Amino acid sequence: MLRFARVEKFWADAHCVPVQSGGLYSEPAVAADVNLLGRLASDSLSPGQVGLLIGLNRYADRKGPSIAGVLPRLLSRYWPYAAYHLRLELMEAGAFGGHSMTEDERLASIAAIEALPPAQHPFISTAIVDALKALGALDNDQAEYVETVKGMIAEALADQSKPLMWDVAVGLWNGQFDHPYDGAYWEAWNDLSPADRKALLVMAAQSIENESMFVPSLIGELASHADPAVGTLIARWTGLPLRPGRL
Amino acid sequence: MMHDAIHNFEMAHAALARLRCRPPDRPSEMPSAAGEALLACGDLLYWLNRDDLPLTERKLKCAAPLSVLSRHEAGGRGSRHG
Repeated sequence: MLRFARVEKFWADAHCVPVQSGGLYSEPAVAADVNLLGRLASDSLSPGQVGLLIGLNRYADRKGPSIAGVLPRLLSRYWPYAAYHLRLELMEAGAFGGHSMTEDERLASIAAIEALPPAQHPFISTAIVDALKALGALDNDQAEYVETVKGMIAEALADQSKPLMWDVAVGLWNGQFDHPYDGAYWEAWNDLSPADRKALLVMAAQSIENESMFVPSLIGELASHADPAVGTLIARWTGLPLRPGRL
Repeated sequence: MMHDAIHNFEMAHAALARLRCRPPDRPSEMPSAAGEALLACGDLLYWLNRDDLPLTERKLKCAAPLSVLSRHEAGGRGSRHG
């Protein structure tokens, strides 16, 4: 069992590259004989020790065994009592631990993550979705969802002067960046003809519901069409940004 | 979020300039020194991105917004936009 006082020696044993060398991400930075995964299999670890070992595993040899081999057990044992940051670490391990994962380990990781209770914190639930996406759990559903998105696009384009459809266009734009099936939105947008794509962009720019963090990329793409006519739409964002509730 | 709105504000000025659209309209009366300074930043972004115009003309157009940003006494009043 690792004790807090031994952490410094543990880091030294792990042969971590000093941060100041600029080579923190050169790998492998943790020697194989540190046996991170064997330590993670121990029954007597504290949540903090689990977090430390998972953190060190980022710098382990990527050709070695995957953390996916121990992840299901870690999730069932520690998730119910894990604090916010350990939950994020566990999900990151699920998302990025797949370099040498076997198919059985991948399926077991997906099953373990899907068995978790619904997360209350939005960042945790986002991390869970990201991990499932990275593990390929959503690939089939996402591929099927492309047709759903294409249907929504067709419906919006059929009624381009309707403000409600402008709001739909905003949702379709944002879906490329902030949706569990973001790849489906991206694919549907990229399958559009240039004229339809521009028409949908113009619709999104007309919506008054469009003040999200994804507006700059929308403005950039609108401008890329080199059509000065869209300037009147873009001009709305050149006024003084007001704090909510203030005049 | 305010920082999203500022990012939109910046991008819109650059995009208008790249589209060769005319500069954005400004209110005749400024709501505050901070608001005037922010609009001056927008004007600078606009003229810096009018890369179809000669550099001398763009520099000339930047003089007025730069003079607004040079009013350090206005910034010292702790005025806050919005």
